[in-house]
Amino acid sequence: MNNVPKDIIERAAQGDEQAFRELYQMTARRVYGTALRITGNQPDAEEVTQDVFMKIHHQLKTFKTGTSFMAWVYRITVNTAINAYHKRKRRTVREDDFEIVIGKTAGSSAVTALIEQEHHEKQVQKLLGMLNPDQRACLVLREIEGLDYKEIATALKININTVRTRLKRAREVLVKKTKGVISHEM
Amino acid sequence: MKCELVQELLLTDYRDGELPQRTAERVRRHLKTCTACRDFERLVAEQAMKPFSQVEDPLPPHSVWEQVQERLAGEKRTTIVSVFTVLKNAINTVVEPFRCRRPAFAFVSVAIIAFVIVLRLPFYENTNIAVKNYLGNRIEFLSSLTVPSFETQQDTAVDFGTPIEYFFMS
Repeated sequence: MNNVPKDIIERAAQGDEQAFRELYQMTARRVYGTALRITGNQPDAEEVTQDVFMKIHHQLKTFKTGTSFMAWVYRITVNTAINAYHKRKRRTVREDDFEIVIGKTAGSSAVTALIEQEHHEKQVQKLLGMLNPDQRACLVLREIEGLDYKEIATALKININTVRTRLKRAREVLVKKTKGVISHEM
Repeated sequence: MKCELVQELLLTDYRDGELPQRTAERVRRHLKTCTACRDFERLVAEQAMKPFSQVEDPLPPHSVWEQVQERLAGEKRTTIVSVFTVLKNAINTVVEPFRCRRPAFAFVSVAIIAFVIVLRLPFYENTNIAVKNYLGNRIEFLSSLTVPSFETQQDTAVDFGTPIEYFFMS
């Protein structure tokens, strides 16, 4: 887990706008990537990324310098993204008809275009879509962000055994269900 | 090592490099001899690991950073406005008790002010002076009636006893 230099964090915490910009540039890709994998769509991922950096800006003064900055950022990201996912799910259930209209009139949104362009990305999203948000967060942090169990446990503030269980369940689901998806997509 | 345990480790610690070397070696030895577990390992690798192996985090659109900046600027403006609001509220809190909002309070206030004014009026001052003069005269008169003290009475030839006797008999 590559961490951000301490002096940038400290300067950003003191209100240095340039330092905050540097901090954004160093972490935005990871925040946006994680948000995209958990929410499953680009507009929500963009909104989550904005919210995450607003939270970082507000809470930077309370961040304990001895701890891992990226673990802290991942925690904010995963929590914000899971909340956004649940919100979207509730909205989709309530506004089913609206979603259909949007689908017909708007046609391909930015995320659809991305999926069409990125065949591999589409497959990943489909696989992640089979998992619940908690399993998804664990798998994304492990497989895509490359965190080890301890780092995932710190980032998500959960027990290391919970990390193990979630990863196991997630992979079991993928092993059982993905055969069809992968053979169809490949 | 039992297949069940090995397959659980293939889904978790062994695959993620979290196992101690000795345990990992035991798993490797088991895999060499167990076809079912080798097949399971291949399945896990292909279906649960390989799809994520070349995934990279995409860059967020530039608009995200612009939105963050806009929101931060908006918050700054709101903070300045809220400072003014706090000041205004503080002033209102101080001024509030002095505001006449009820007729009774207004009437009482006017009555108190009127009473104070009346007390300070000149004719009232004159009346006071007249009373003071009258009382002064009366005190002077009464003091002129004062009798000599008991010690002075002892020098006289006749002892009248009391001051009233002295007053009438002398």
